[in-house]
Amino acid sequence: MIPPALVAAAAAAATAAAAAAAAPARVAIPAGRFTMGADGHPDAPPRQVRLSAFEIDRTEVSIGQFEEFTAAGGYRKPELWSEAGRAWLAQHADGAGAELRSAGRGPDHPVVAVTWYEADAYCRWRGGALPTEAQWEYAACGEGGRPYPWGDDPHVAEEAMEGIRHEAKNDVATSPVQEFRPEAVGPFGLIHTAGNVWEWTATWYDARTYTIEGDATDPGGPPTGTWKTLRGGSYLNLLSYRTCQHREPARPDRVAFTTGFRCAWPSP
Amino acid sequence: MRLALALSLWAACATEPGPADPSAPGPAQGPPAPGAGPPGGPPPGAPGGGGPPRSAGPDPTDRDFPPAEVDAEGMVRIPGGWVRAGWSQIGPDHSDTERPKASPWTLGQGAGLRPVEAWVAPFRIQPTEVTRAQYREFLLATGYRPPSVEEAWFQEHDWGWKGTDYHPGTADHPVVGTSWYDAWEYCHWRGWRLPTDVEWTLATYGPAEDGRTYPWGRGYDAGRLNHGRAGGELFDDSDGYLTTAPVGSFPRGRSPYGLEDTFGNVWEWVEDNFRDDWRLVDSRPYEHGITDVFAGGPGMFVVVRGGSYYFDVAVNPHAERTFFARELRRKSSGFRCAADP
Repeated sequence: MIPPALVAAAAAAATAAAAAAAAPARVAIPAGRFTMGADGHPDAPPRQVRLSAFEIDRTEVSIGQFEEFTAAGGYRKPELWSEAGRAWLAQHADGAGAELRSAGRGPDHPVVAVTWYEADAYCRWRGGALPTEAQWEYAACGEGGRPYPWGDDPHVAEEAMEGIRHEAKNDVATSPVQEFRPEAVGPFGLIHTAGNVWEWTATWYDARTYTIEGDATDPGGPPTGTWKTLRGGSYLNLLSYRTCQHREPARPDRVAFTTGFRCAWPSP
Repeated sequence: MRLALALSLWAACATEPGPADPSAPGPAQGPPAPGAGPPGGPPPGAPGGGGPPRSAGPDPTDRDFPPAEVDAEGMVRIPGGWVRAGWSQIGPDHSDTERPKASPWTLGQGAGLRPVEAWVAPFRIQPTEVTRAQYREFLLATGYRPPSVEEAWFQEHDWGWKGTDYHPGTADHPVVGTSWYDAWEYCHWRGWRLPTDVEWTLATYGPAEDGRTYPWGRGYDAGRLNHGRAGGELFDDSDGYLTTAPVGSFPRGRSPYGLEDTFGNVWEWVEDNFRDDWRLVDSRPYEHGITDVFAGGPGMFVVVRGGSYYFDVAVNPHAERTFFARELRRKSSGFRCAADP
């Protein structure tokens, strides 16, 4: 006997998933300005950022979507890869492989175990690019100042988003990319920007970036670096990692079962 | 009883395909272990040596070891030696071939790795855990993320950082709140690396034939380490420190090679993934055992060693070897670096 509350929750999730499926895959983000960062983070102080209009994936890239890229020969099209990506590709012809990318999950779950190089090539294949950190934060959370895409309430993250999996043991505990609770959606309609999987951005990481760049228009971050910036936290992380402002450094060749991405495009 | 069990386990293991060399002879060529244990080393389940899993008190073999002699880089050189790799919650009815193969993203069946004699080549290792002052140099030089967690439970203790500044008065305490990635980045910035699981074992216990259960010998002694409690409130200040202690505060806890605080103070990341399937561990045959033991590649969980101020090894010393998720920053997770000879 399934408790009625669970049936209702499942129905709500199914409805939400259907709505997401019907919604445009890309979200148009208008030009705007926002407060990037927040006090109390290692990269404080926050700063004012202006952004040109752009488009971004409503959801994280799914396993099914990513394997379309591999089936289309994406790993054999050097024109899709950055110079560093081609050097990496020469040593890793198929990346981590389809088995690790799916990690026992269905094709509607977010792809994981992809390096920055692969994420970058995939987005180029779709005519776009990885979002910059600034684009990611604005698209996820809007004008700024709020810790979560939906506002201030941490309970939404606890209850409606993926639970804290501090001691996860036996699975890669993602949710399908289209499955969401309406109260957890961001102001522009993006899904799973808090939790589910970390998302690669185009921007090199430096804890000092906000101070070095200061207030800026379409900031691109350091011209080079050792680490790319991950955003959004994952099913594994504490609440503070799943905030709009949390920044995490990762070498571009990292293969992690907590890390995926979404793509962005210039405004048409 | 224990000896009989150990021998029967070993006999069962010896008939199974080994992780690298099914035709390798049994362990009988190894030097005899002092005290209880099958020929060639300690009983299965002992990461470092023989002896009972729990000791009521001091043992005649317990020693106070002198400080490490370090080279110009501050590293102590560890000569090669045999250790017992793996641990055994594994019983005679389990073998690698009977179980479904574990995956890199799970912990498999949780049955453990059948213990095998492993040769560890010479290497170097830091005699102390990396301190907050040392870690700060790395942050200032690179712009890497400080090892801070924004949650209140982290900030309200002296583990929290303000930007690139650790809490005043804790310069010589081990850095905590480091993920495995953080630890890896620090060591590589120094031109070093993390120790492997078996290197940590050798550096902490000495060679397996010495049969130690603790760095100092076979008897548990709560005065030799910065430990926590078992159950309830895990913090403990009966050793003089509620949380971290300055590195090297427990000289009577030194390892045979002079390493400080291998047991207690903070958990230490090692390079290896936590695996419970030898088919996911690299090694190659060597004399009566294996060598080059390393569990690399993608993985969710990494081996951590040594317990911490927030853990009590008195209950079961073998529990000093466990796992944390690779990317999590814990209030008790630190590390030390190693290097090639």
